[in-house]
Amino acid sequence: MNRDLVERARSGDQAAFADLVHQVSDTLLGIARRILRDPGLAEDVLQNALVTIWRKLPHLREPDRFEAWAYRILVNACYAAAPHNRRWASTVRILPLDRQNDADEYQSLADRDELEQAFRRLPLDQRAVFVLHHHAGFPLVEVAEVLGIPGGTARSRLHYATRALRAAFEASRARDNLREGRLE
Amino acid sequence: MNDDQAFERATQAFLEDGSDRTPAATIDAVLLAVRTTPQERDLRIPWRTAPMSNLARLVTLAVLAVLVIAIAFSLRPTSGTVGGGGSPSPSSPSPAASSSAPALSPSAQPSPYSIDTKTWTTYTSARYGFSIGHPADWYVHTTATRDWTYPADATVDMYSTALETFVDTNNTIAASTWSVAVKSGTTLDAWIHAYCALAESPAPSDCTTMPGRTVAASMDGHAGSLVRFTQDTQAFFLVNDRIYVVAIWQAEEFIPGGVSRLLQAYLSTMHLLPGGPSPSGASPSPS
Repeated sequence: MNRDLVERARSGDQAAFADLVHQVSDTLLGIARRILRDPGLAEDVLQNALVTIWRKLPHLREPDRFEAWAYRILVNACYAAAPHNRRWASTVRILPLDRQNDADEYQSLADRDELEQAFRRLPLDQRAVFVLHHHAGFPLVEVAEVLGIPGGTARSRLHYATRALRAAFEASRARDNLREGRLE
Repeated sequence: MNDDQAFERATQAFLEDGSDRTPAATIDAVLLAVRTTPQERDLRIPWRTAPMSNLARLVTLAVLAVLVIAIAFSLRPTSGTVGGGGSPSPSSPSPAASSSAPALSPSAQPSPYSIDTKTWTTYTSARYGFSIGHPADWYVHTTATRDWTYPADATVDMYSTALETFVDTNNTIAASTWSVAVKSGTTLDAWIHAYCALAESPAPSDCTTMPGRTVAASMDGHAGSLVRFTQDTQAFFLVNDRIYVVAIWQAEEFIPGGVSRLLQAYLSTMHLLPGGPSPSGASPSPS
C-alpha cells in the first residue's frame, strides 16, 4: 500500500481516497463475501465499511498499518450487519449428466455444499478468523492483531472452525462411500 | 490423495469460489458518499518535539497535579453505583464485603453508564450450582456439557464446552461463567495466581501486575476479587471449597463505562443454588 496515498487521504484528499478504494475494494469485498456468504449483503457491508474508513482515517496513527486497520473495520461491519441466526437456504445446483467424470464432479459439489452448510453454522467470529487466515493469508498472530483479540482466542476460534468444517467434510465422504457401496 | 490433502483441497476450492470484483456502482456510491461525509477530527495531542525548560516543566507538573486532584475529587465514589465498583481497593478482598447482603443495585442510582438488570433473563446452571442474569438480547452461546477442570481448561477460552457462555447480538462481547472444586485450604489469591500463570488469556504479563488491576467484588453476599486483565475482565470467588469465575472476554475500554461495570452488573444477578452444583467426578484444582 502506498504510504503517501494513505497520508493524503488521511488529510482529506478525496482523490487519494478514491485511488485507495480502487486498490483495496476487491480484497475487502472478497473477505466480506466469504465471512457473510451473501454477495449482496457483502457489497452493502463493503460500502459502509469504506465510508467508515474515510470518516475515521484521521485517527489512523500508522499509515503502514492501513490494510490491517481497514480489515478490522470491515470485519466489525460484517458483525454488525449479519442477521443473527439466519437460516441457510439451500441452493439448487444443476449437475452435468453426460460427463466422463460425473462421480468426481458430484463428489466435489457434495463436499462444497457440506462445507457451505457447516461454514454458515459457524459463529461470525470463527468465520472471520478462518477467512483471514486461510483466504487472506494472515498468520494467526496478525489475525489476532487485526481483530483485536488475544492470540489464544484467535487460535481457539480457528481450531473450532476447522474442526466443524472437517467434520462436515468427513460426513460428506462417508455418505459418498455408502452410496458407492450400494451401487456396486 | 490422503484425507488431509482432500480436506485442504476442498476447503481451498470452497474459499476460492466466486468473483471478488467490486461492482462499479458500489465504488461510485462510496465516492459519492465521501463527497458529503466529513472526516472525524483527530483530537489526540501531538507529541512534543521541542525540549521544555525546567521552569516550564515545573509549571506543567503543578497544573497537572491540580487537575488530577480536581478530577479525583469530582469522581469520588458514591454509594449505590453499579456494583460498588467505583471504590477500587488494592489486591485482596475484604472480609467485610461479604458480611452484608450484596448491595449491588445497578439501577439504584442512574449514572451515564448505569446498567439496568431488571429486564435481564435468568439463566440457571445446574452443573455449577448457580443462577445468573444476562441481557435479554444476548443469547446462550454455549451450555456447559462437561465440568471445567484444572489445569486442562485453564488454557482454553470462551468456546470451551466447560463454560456457560452468553454472547451479545453482534457477536462482539461474550460473558462466561464456570466453577471448579478446589482442595480445602486453597486461598483465592493463590488460585488466581496459579490460573493466571497457565491461562492463554489473561496474558502472562498480566499476572505480575495483578495487584494493581484488582478490586474487591461481591457475589451473592460473598467477597471476591475482580481483575481487569489487558484483554478481559474476570471475577473470582471462593465459596465452600469451590472457585466461581465470571469472565467478560473484552478489554476494559471496549464499552462505554468499562467492561468491569458490566461484569459487576452480571455479579449482582448471580446467586448460588442452595443444593450446590450437581455431583461430578471433577478433581480439585490446582493440584
